[in-house]
Amino acid sequence: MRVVLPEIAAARGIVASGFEPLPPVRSEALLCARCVAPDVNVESIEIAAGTHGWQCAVLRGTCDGRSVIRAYFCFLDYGALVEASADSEEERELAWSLIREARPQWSDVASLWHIFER
Amino acid sequence: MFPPDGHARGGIRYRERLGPIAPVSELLAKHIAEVPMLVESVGACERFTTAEGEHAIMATVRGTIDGAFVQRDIGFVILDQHYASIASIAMSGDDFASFTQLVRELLHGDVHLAGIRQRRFEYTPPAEWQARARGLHADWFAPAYPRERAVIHVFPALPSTRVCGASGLWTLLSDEDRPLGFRADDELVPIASTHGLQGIWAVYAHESRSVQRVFAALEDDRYVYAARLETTDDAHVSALHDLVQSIRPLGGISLPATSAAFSHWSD
Repeated sequence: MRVVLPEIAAARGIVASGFEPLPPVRSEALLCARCVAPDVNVESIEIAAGTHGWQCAVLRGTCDGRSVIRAYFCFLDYGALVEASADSEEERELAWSLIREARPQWSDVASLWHIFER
Repeated sequence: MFPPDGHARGGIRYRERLGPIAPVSELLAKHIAEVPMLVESVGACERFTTAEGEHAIMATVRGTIDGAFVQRDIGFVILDQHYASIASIAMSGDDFASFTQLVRELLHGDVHLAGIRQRRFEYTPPAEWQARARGLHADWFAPAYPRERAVIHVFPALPSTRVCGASGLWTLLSDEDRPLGFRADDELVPIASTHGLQGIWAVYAHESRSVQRVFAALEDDRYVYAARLETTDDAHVSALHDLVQSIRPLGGISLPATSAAFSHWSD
């Protein structure tokens, strides 16, 4: 399982974490809490939807003088963090325009097609 | 197992209850790597069902060990949560064909006594849709999910006697759906698959009319093969239709022929 981002995202320093299982009750507060990092000064946290409709919590803040954006996506029963840092707020918003394209790629062996054809 | 004149000609190894289940390409790569062999070719995979109707596959691998040309035949019997492997190594070119045949026969005759049970069956999923496994169940999500809400839930093949056939399963599921606001009052439409199965098709909507479900079930004398689409868009109904059309019935049990080829082999 992995998070799929636009190809250009890696060049822009956007990184995605691995998937982690979410608890059965997935509140907005839980997604927001997953965005928070101890070294990031929080400017705002909001609940948003990515381009493909996946719900996420988006944190905007600063860390060591750089603008930071951290989005924690809820992909069904798994969560994943996608983050980037930028020199300016404009660059940060450019990063967000790529981050919001995030979508999951599952690797489940769910059918005989996965076993014999993939 | 080794031939009567010893290890020098090669041998065959059987292992069962291996896991986890993975794509055959991964299983094959893992088993090839068990022997320090310089691989020169991996033959095409040969698929078949065992005498018990389980899914089996094998491939022939050729290469060298310490400069000597050898052949390995590696096959798997895929069950629900685990698999069995049969792998041979033939050290002499004179034995290559007979070892391949022996592995094929061993796979075909591999006995697990798993019987009629809930199990995976074969179908072609819609292109670009992604699946999540729920045990033996599969949820297939449309490429644009969740922006486009369309999920096909494919049930495992269900023993017909347990669910009273396709119509019995429909009765059970539509009863479950009623408290959720789905009204399954429309008539069932008979359907047939391209692989000789007959069944039923039902379209029913949520009372809010915002979402609809389409249920399809095919059956033979042993199993019911069912799938259910939930969507907000009629455009996705064709994906379920195509999936259902591609459903192949599970193989039945056939008694293996006794092979004289093994009579002089020892464990």
